Amino acid sequence: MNPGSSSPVFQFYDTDITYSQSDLMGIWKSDEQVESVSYDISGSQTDDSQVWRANLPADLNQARSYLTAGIKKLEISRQVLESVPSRLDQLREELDRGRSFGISDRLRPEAELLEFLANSEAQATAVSFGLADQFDSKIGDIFSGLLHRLRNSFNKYAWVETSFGERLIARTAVDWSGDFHTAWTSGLDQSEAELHSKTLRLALKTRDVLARMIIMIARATVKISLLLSSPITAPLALPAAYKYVHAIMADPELIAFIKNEEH
Amino acid sequence: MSSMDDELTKISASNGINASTGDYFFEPETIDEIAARAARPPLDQEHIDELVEHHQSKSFAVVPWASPKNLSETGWGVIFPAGDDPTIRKIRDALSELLDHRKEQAAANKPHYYREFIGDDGYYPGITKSAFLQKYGATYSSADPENVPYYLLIVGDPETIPFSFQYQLDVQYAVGRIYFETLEEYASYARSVVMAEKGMVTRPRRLSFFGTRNNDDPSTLLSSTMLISPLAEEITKLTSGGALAAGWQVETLPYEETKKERLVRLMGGADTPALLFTASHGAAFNQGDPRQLKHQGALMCQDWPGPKEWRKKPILTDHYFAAEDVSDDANPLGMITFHFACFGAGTPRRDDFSYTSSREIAPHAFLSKLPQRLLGHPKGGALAVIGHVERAWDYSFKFDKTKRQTQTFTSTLFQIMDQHPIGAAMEFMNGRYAELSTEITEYEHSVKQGKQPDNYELAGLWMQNNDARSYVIIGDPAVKLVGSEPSAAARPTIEPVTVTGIVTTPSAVTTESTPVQPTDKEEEEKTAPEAADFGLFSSLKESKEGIQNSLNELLDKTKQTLSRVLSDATSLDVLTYVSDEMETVEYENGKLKGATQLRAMTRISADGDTIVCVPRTGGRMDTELWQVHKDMVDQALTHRTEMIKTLSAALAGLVDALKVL
Repeated sequence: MNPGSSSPVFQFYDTDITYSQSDLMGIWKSDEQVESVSYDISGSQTDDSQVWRANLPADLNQARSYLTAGIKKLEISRQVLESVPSRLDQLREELDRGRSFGISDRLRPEAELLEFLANSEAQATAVSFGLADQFDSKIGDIFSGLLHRLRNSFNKYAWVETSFGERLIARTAVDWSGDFHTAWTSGLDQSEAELHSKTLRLALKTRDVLARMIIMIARATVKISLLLSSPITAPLALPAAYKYVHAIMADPELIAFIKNEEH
Repeated sequence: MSSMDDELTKISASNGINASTGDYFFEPETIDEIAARAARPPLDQEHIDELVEHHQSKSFAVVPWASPKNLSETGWGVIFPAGDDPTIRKIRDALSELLDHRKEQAAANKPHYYREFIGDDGYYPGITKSAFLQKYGATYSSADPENVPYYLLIVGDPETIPFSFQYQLDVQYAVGRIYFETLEEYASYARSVVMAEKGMVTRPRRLSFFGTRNNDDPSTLLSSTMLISPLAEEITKLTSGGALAAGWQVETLPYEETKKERLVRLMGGADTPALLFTASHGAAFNQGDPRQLKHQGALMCQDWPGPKEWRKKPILTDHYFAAEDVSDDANPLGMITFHFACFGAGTPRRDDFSYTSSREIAPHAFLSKLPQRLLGHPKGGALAVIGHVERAWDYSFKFDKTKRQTQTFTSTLFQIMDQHPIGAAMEFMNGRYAELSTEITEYEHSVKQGKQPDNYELAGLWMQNNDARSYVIIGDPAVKLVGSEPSAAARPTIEPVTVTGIVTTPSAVTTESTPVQPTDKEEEEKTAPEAADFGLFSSLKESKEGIQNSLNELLDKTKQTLSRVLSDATSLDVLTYVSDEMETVEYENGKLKGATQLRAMTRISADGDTIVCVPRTGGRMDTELWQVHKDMVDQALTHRTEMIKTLSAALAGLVDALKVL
């Protein structure tokens, strides 16, 4: 296999989302090239749609395995996200039992979170002028932008395309009521149809995981706010949650653990 | 007809005394005034339509193959507020004794007949009953435990889970509600119910009627003569006729004895019966009166000398029976009590009986303290209290000027005595509500067709309708009087329940129409060092406000989208096309356009009806394309379910986050 020549290109086009998520879930790429390609291929992609496009290599087995790997990756992301509340609950219980903010024996996301909280609390106690520095306004802006764009995405339908060996084999529109409208190229065989079915699953799962990520940041905000003893520092819960969720999503130890558990 | 009776033909009276002023809580209204309000369009046409449909199709209650007495056939569920508030988990844990017991009963044959609607599955602000049910595949027909259990216990205050949701759900399901201010009360109630149902509690098999008749007061004259007396007579006939298990004793207290001191003995004192029915005024207070939240819905007793003698002076606590009159030594364990009184169960924030005004009558909706005290008593609580939210009207038992109608009450009491779960027994009340809504709709239709309007008839129907709607169960709707004995003299109590954790309540969630309830943190913030407000954190505050705005916008959008998804969820369309020119295919206005040919279609309705158009080639079914289409249908169904779950979870998560930011 020569990845350089036959790797799939999972392209994603939606200016609202790509603004802050240039590499969506580590699967979908969005760049200038995607933008131009999206518009070039047809006139159907308007501001009303999110375009999910899979350009798959001509080798059927390769194409299948790329799609399967993408779906697997999303399932792991979803599981990792779902673990956020229980991990924070466990952390809180430990702190309630009197465990210190020691970070040496913890997983990296928790360690970073505790370090963040410890610094915030210490500065709040000292009524430090530096407390505001803890609130990274960039994170606030990014998160705010993400929320805004997610809100806009509710007006859009998903437009999912699959190309197999440079041949466009299917297009599906899925609106927010959940109706599916699919056009298949004539003479398609079952195995090719399966490829588009998987692309569709990958796109819709990505959208779901993206929404779940926002939900988990919101839920983590609530839980982290309970770890903060001072009301002055309460607004810091959100950037802390944002950082924490992202750290968890990128935590190689946990992802490896989940993979091993499944095998 | 006496002059007082004559007066009653012109006015309608509610059973509420304004204890702040000593006057009636609401001025009696003329029939024309009421009819003018009734002629306005109902607020929730969808709900009215549903009631009419239920009445006409007789599809109330649980599916006919399930016995309401058997939880393994009906199912049982509990609904908590959605979200991640740790308090909700603590309350759930405090109730675990009851939940385990119900699980054992309801899930005996089918595990999914026991449901906990909690976390993402809980009630989130603004969701309607139909949207809530649709999430789980339930429709407007009879309650089918395959989707949602028939018995549903709401856990939460009426600001968090509004009374309107309870009323709407109650049409189809057997619904009760509990809400306490301490975890200990939740745990105590849970243990009380379990003990009673395991036969560890015995109460004398006695039904006591307690009906006041205050001097010069038309309302209690009516309720004592047209409700208490005939009701006692009918029930006595039924018991003596052998319709009920032997040993039931019916006792009617002479109205002269319906004093506060007597209620002390009946509600947890030496004379506590298995079943108590009271009819009296409910004490009501002006908004802002410090007694309102503590004493609203307390039962006015014969100790009040009546409006003429007392004139318009504030009512004394000696005149009514309130939560604090149930002492720590009292023992209401195992009893069920029915209070016909204004605000006996609870108070909405706004006047429920007016379309024209939205007058606030309380700072927020709340449950009356007396039922809470009775159910959460430390020595063991009552099993349930049936009461009225808002005003209780004489229309509950009187219509057509001076004719009485007590059959709904008789049927309900009879079933409770016959050991039906209280939620099932209340179906008569719910049926009456649906019947009246249907009558109003038919009446309005006939007026449109040219019938001469009769204000008295319309006013009567409208008041009866709203009145019938507002009877609610405070307590688990599946409780029943299993422990009553013909002559039990024992006074059982429960062991004190120890629950670790602070006294706490779930905070009210914020909705567009609900003022934000300050959290402890917000209160603290108000008193935090002023430095916090002096530009020290200006960038922090700006970012915080920006995020709050974005969260609010997203919350609104999520609500709209979920609402749209659920309203569009009446059907799911999956369409499969083929094309020789894929590049021309576009999607526009909900349809695929371009060089395409529609080859297969599936439309699945909410009630499960499915229309399928099968692809054919050369006169035969194109099995290959059909397989492709079927795969799309499966994926669409899975996707919609996931989408609804995600949107619901998003709503709950966003609301929670907004509370702490």
